[in-house]
Amino acid sequence: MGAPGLVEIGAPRRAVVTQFDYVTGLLVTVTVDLAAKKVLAVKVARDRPAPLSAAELSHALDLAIANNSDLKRLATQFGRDKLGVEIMMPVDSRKTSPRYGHRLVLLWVETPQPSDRAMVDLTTDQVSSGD
Amino acid sequence: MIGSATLSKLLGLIVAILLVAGLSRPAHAVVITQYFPAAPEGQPRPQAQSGWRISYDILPPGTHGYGRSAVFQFTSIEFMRGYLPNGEPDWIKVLNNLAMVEIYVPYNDGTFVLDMHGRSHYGVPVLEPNPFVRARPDFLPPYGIISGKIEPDGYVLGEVVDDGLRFMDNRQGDTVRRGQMLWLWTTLKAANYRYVLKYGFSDDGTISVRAGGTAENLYDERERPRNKVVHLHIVAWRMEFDLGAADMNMINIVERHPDLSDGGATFSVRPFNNGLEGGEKWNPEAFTMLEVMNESTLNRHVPPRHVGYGLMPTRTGSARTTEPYTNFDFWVTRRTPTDPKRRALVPELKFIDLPENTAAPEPIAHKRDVVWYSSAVNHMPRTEDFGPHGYHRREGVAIAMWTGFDLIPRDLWDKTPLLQREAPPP
Repeated sequence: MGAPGLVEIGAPRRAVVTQFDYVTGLLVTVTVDLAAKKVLAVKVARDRPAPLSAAELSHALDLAIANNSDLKRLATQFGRDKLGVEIMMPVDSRKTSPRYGHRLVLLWVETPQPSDRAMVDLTTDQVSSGD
Repeated sequence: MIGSATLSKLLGLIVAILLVAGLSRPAHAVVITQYFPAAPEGQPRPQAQSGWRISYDILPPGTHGYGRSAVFQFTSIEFMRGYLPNGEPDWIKVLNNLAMVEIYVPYNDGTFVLDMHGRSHYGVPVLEPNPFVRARPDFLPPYGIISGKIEPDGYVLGEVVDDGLRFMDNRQGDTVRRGQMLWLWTTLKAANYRYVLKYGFSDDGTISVRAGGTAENLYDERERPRNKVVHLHIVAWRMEFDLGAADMNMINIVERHPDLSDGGATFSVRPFNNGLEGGEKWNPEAFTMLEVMNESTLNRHVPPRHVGYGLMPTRTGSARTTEPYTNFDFWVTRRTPTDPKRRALVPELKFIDLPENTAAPEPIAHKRDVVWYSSAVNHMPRTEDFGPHGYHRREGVAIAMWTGFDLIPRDLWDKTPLLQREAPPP
């Protein structure tokens, strides 16, 4: 949680635990003092990007390949595991949007060939064009 | 059978991240000393009149608390303002911290991306584990600069350049003094975008901070009107002034107030946000500037004056969105708040946390404070950004657009810097 010059060497170890709840779309962030075994802070937010797990990324890629013809072509030609994937985690801030509070992944391939972009909604498993 | 993805949704996703307050591995700070005037290699260098001593780190993701991206962080910036009466160089520490800490990119369709906080790469294999572009010799100009090199970290480039006319001395036959400056720059990869982060250190003590967005647009420009592709790059920086006594700085807002009924104008210097943590807006009609004056450190002027720096915006507008951290252009927070709940979480490094952190504002006078500043590029993509056919994102490259600010010395020197003139008769 620190940075060089901003914390003392040997300062207490702290951990940040994040939980994204698919049902409510809420992100819970908990900061813990590991030495004291104490919770320092709990924050709950909507409209905040949360770290993507490896399982979520894999699922998003599967959905994108299944629903996007350009990504399907590249996966067939080069193999799914050979694709160099780039991702962004956009947030839809419009409260009237059907994607509000959803877990979105904008996904595309950079190598071996650049692809079209696919917007994967992990909350609904729907895929739309990201271009 | 329940798949792993479905199971994750049922249980909620839990990702645990361990970030060590004292850092899990040692940082490898780069230290640069640059004196001015500078001369090309092989040519004799005149005696130094000023100089910079700069320490910085390139922090990979997961080694710091700014967010989830990599960070280019300065940990010490010192300036040599000539010489003391005993002939020793007169160094003063200007900043203890300076870093670009967030790039918030809202699109007109209502989606947004946080390029520092929103990078989501814990435990996920990605193309670029360290998203700074590795510097290459061809990034340096082939001619036209005094010197240039790739710094030891491999990501930052240092260029010493002519900075044009610094001043023209009308009392000495319109003698021209040309300026010089050192630019340190690197490039952050943020998916399709490349953000060029530039820090310029001038021979007169000015620090120029810039961020420029370039590379590939997110969307094609097929749509007319082109509302969907229009977006902002709101860049935020965090800085801690030292000025010889970091807990003796006063932070003020300086503004000009014209008298539109009778003519003339006045200027005001008032404590930032009434002396409390919080934010202030930039007003273009008042030339709003943030000023940091140190109430302990004096310059060598006769009589001595308190040294300071002014944060002078170089911007074309102010971005307001539904995100409350865009409510203000300047923010000030305490380095170590009194509130024990906040104190347990120091250092506060995230720009997006500012509204919450300042909800119960604490006094900032004569405390170690943190100054935050944000400035936006309003990017309205144009045909020039889209390559030979003028609409396809993959065929083109967005021409760099810049925003930022200058930190200019106020009473840091005891005279006009770099001026070679005989002292007037008493």
